[in-house]
Amino acid sequence: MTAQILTTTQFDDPDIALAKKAGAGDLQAFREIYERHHRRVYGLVLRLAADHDAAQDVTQEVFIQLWKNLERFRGESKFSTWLHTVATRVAITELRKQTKRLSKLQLAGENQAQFEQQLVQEDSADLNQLDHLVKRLPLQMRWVFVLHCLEGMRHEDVAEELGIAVGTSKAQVFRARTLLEEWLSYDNA
Amino acid sequence: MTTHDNRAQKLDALIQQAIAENREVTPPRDLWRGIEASISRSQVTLKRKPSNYWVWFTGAAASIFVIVGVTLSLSMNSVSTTVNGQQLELLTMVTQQHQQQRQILLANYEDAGLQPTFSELQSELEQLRSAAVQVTEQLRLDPDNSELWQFLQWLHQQELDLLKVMYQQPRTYQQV
Repeated sequence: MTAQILTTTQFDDPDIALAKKAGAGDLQAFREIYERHHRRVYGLVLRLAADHDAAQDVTQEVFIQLWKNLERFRGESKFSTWLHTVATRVAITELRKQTKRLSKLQLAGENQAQFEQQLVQEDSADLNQLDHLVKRLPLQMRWVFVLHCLEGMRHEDVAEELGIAVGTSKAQVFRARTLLEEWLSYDNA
Repeated sequence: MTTHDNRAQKLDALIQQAIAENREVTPPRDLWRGIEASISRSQVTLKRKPSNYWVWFTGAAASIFVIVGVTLSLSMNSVSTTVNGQQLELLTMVTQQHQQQRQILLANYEDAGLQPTFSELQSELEQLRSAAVQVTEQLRLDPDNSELWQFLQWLHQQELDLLKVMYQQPRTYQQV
């Protein structure tokens, strides 16, 4: 039964053949993978980063890392599922690095908050109401909310990816929901 | 229904809507170029890295000296005083033939305008040549030693192979 399901999944998933080709060094196949998935990856990263410039850099890094790690994809799950995991992991790592760089630039405390708010206001034209609000959440709370509530990851997986306790993940979602509900009432008032 | 319930319902509706949209966003600029350039750079670096050859030839060069030393010391004990003129002639021919092969190879690279890419392998090349000279000299004293003949042929071939590696050009992105 399991074998049947795996075979069906592989048969139905055209990405697997492309991934195998790309894993063997076929850049044209990799470009096709990019064309199929980059908008979805960019959408995820943009939500996590809340900034177009950062999201573009991180999306590029996701695909560079993907190219380097394609040989690890064994075709046991849907390629898009595996890509989502890779994208989330790379995005969080890269965004953490960027946050550290910001701190080194002494954009700490209020200045950093102002800087982030400025970014949020600068490039929010193409976002829906929820995305506008999510961007206002503090960094880690935003990541937890996006990964659990919008990307459907379990608290256990979110906690593992972010290196936090499962309880912290749950608490962050609760707090995020409270804030978002509060902001919704302001916006609708 | 309380105000809190209303707000929670509204938030849930927005979340469901966001999930249903399966959000895809087109980046404002072409990201592929940067990805392609980065992959290309890493490929070129990888191709230029002579690590495998380096390790192999360094190991081979070290082994050669051990083998040359052991072989020569053993053969010294069994040197025949009879010098075979034909075999000495053959030795001269083999050496000249190898030198010609080397010159042709280098001339071809020169004509193609190629320079040695992995100049760090020069010392390994010199060690191979030095070993070949030692074996040749020993063969002059002991021309019946078939193992030395085989060893000399092997050293000549290694030198040619190493020259090919030194002049090997990294593959361009298009070739990749």
